[in-house]
Amino acid sequence: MGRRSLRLRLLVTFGLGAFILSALFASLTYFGVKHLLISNQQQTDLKQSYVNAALVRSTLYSSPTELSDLLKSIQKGTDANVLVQTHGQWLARSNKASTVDVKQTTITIVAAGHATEQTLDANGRIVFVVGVPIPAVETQVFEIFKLDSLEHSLRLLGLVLLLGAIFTSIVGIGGGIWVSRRTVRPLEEVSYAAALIAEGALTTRLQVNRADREVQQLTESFNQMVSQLVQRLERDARFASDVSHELRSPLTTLATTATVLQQHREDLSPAGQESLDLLVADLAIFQSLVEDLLEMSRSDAGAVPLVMETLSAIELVHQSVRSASRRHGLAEPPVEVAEGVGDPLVLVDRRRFERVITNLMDNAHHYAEGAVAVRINLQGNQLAVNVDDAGAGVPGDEHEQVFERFFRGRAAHDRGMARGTGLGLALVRDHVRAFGGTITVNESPDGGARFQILLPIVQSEHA
Amino acid sequence: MQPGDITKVDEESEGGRVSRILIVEDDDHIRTALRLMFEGEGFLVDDAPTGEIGIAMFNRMASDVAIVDIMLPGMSGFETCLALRSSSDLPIVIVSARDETADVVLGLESGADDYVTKPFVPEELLARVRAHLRRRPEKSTGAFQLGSLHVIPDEGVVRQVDGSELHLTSTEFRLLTDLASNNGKPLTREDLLERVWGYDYFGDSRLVDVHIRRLRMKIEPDAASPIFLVTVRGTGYKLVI
Amino acid sequence: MRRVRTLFGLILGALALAGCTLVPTASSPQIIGKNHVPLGLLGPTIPGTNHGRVRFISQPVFLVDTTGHLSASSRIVPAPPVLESVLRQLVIGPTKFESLGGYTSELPKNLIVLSANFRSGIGYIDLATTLSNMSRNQEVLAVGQLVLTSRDVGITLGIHVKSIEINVAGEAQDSPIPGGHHAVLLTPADFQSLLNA
Repeated sequence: MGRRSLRLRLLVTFGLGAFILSALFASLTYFGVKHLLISNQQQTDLKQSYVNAALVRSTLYSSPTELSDLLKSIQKGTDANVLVQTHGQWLARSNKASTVDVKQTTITIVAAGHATEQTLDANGRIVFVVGVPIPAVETQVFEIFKLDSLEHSLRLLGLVLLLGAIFTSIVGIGGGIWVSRRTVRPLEEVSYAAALIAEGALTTRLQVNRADREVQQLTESFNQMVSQLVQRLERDARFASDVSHELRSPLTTLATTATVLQQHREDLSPAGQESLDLLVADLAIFQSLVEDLLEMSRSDAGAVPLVMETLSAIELVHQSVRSASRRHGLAEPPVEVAEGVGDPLVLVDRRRFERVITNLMDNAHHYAEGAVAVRINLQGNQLAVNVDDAGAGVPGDEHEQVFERFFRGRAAHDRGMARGTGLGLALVRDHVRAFGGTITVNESPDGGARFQILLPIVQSEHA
Repeated sequence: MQPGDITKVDEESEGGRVSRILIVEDDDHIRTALRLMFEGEGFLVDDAPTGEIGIAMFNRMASDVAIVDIMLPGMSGFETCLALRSSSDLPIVIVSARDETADVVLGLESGADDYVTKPFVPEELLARVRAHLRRRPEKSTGAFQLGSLHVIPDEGVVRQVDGSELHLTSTEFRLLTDLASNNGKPLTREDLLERVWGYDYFGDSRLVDVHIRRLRMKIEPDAASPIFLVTVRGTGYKLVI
Repeated sequence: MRRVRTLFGLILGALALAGCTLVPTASSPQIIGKNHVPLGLLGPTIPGTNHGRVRFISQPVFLVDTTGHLSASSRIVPAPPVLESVLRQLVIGPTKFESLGGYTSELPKNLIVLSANFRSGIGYIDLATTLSNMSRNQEVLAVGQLVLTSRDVGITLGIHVKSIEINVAGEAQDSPIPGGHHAVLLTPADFQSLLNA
C-alpha cells in the first residue's frame, strides 16, 4: 500500500474540504433562495389573482359588457392570462389565453367552490395556474402566470454559486499548497539533516530564525539534541581514550618492575620464579590490550589523522614483515611476489600498515604456527597482500564476524584460552578501510587461513 | 618478550668505564623502577624528580646519557632538554605519555636524540640507551662540500663561507656523514635507524623524518625544495653532493 | 481514495439534480384554504349588496359586420336574460372591443326601448321613436338586428319565438322585411338572409 505523501494529503484535504464546504454552502444558499423566490412569486401572483377576480366580479356586476376589456387590460398590465368561465362555459378570456391551458382537474375543483393553485409544465414552459371561484356571480376565474423570469433568475443564481464553489475550491487548493509548504518543508529539512548527521556530518544543523514559532521550536530542539548527542559521542570517545591514557603510568611501573624482578630472578624461590613468569606473560598481554584500546579509541575519536604516503608496496611489505617479526619475536615468514606484479605504488599510512601486518602475523602466531608466507599478487587493478598460515583456518560462517571487536570464534575456545586482545583484527579492518582498501579471510593454499588485503594501486605519475 | 632475556650484569661498561645515567621523572614509582632496572644492569643512576634538580645533578655528575620525561612540574621536559643540550652533547631520550607527532618534533627540536612513549617495553629502553652510548666511535669520512658549506667529519664541524660554524647535534652530523658515505645512493629509514641510532628493530621512522627535516632547515638554501638532502620516493633519502 | 471519489460523485449528482428541476411542478392542483382567499371572493353575495348568486351568460346580440351583414356578437348579461335589458344593450351599440372588430349598428344610438317582452310566443318591442331617417336597406338591417336578437333571447329563455311585433309608442308598425315587403308580425326566419353566410 505504501505511505502517502503528507503534502498530497494536505492538498487533497484542503481542496476537497474547500470544495465540499463551498458546495454545501452553495447548495444551501441555492435551495434557500429558490424556495424564497418561488414562494414570493407565488404569493404575489395569488394576490394578483384575487384582485383580478374581484375586478371581474365588480365588472360583471356593474357592466358585464366590459369584461373583455378588463381582461385585455389585465393582460397588458401584468402579462397574466385570465379566463372566465360560468357554468361550464367560457365567458371571456384575455387575448393570449387559450382554454387548453386550464386543466380539467382545476376546473372541476374550482367549480366545486375551492380556490386552487398549481405550478405545472405547459409545453416546456413553467406556469403558475390559479383558479378562483366567485360564487356571487357564479363564475370561475382562472389566471395563468408565466414563471420564465423566475426560472431565468434561478439558473443565473445556480451558475454564480457553482462558479463560486469552483473558485473557492481552487483557493482551497492554493491554501493547501501554501500550508503544506510551510509545514512539510521543515519536516523534509529535518529528515535531510538527520540523514546527513547519521552519515557522519556531525556539524550539520538546521537553519534557525524561522517565521513560524512551532517550526522555530522544532529546529532549535533538533539542533540542541544534535549538539548534545555529538557532545556525548565525543565524551564517550574521549573517555576510552582518557581511560587508556591514565593506564600508561601504572603500566610503565608494572613493566619496569617486572623487568627488575627478572634481573633478580636468581634470588627467587622456584614458586617465586614461576609466578614471575606468569606475571611477565600476562603483563605483556595487558600491555598489548591497552595499546590496542588506545589505538582503537584514538581512531574512533578521529584524534590521529592519517599520514598518507605513496610508497613502493613491495618494499613496504618487506619492511613491515621484518619489523613485526623482530619486534614481537615472531618467526619471519618469506615474502613471495607473484610474477608480473612489477613495482606498484600504494597510498597508505606507513605506521598503520606496519600495524596491520604485525597484527595479522600475530594472529597467525596465536591461532596457527605462525604465518607460512606473505604473498603479493594482483587482483584486477588492485594489489593483494596475503598473509597465509597452515593452521585450522577460519570457519566459513565466521568470515565476517572474525573482524568484529572482541569476537571470540571457535578457534579461541578450542585453544582453551583466549589469547590476543580481541581487537587486533578489528584494528586491521579499520586501518585497511582507512586506506581505501578491503580485507577478507579465506582459505590459504597451505590449508589454513588466508587474510587478504586489497589495496588500490596508485599510478606512478601521481604525487 | 621472553623470560630470561635479561640477565644480571655487574657492570655496564663502555671501554672499561661505568656509564652514568640521569633519569628525570616526576612519577615516583616509575622513577624508582627505572633506577632499579638500570642499576641492575650495572649503570650508575642519578635520578631527579624535577628538571631543576636534574640539571643540578648533571652539572655535578656529568652523566653519559639522560632520560627525561616531558611532563614535569615546574620546568618542562623540553626546557630541561634545552638546558642539558646547551652544555653537553650527551644523548637524551625523551619519555612521554603522548604520541603526538607535534610532541616528537618539539622534543627533538629541544635537543633530544630519541623519543619513547609510555608504556614502553623496558628492554627496548635499555637497548636504546645502550645503542646511544655505543655509537661513540664514528666513521671516518673525508671532508666534503655542500654548496657553500664545508663539512669536516673528523672535526665534527660544518663551516660556512664566512668562517662561522653551523651547529649540528651529533645525531644530525652522523646522519649527514652516513648519507655522504653512501656516495649519493639512497638509504632507507630502517638503514638510517640502524646506522645512526644503532637500532635494529625498534626505531620509529618518524625519528628519521624529523631529523631530516631539521637538517634541511639548517643546510638547505630552501628547505621546502631540497637540493642536497633529497627524498627518494618509495625508498628513503640520499645526499647529493 | 475511493471514499472520496464517491462523495464527490454524490455532491455533483445532487447539484445536477437540483439544477434540472428549477421550479418544482405539481401533478395536481393544490386547494387553497377558504380563509386564505381575501376580498370575500368566496362569499355568497357581492360585498356591499344583497345581490347574491347573480348569474351571467353569454347572450348574442346582432350587429352589422364589415360586409354589411348581420353578425352575432356575444354580450355578457345577467341570467336569465331580460329581453328589455338585452335590447337596451343592443341599442347602445358596439363595445370598444366590437368596434375594433369592425362591428357597427344601424340602430340609432338615441333610440329608446320603452319595453319589450314575450307573450304567447310573440315578442313585443315598444320603441319610443320610429326608425326613420334611414334608407330602406338600413332600416331592414336595423329591424333584423332587433328581430334576431329577440329570437335568440327567446331561445335562451326556452321560448319558441314565432314572430316579433315592433310598436312605436304602443302603436304597431309596419316594418320592412327583406324581399321588399312590409309586415307587422315579423318572422325571424325571414331575416336569415341578412346573416353573414
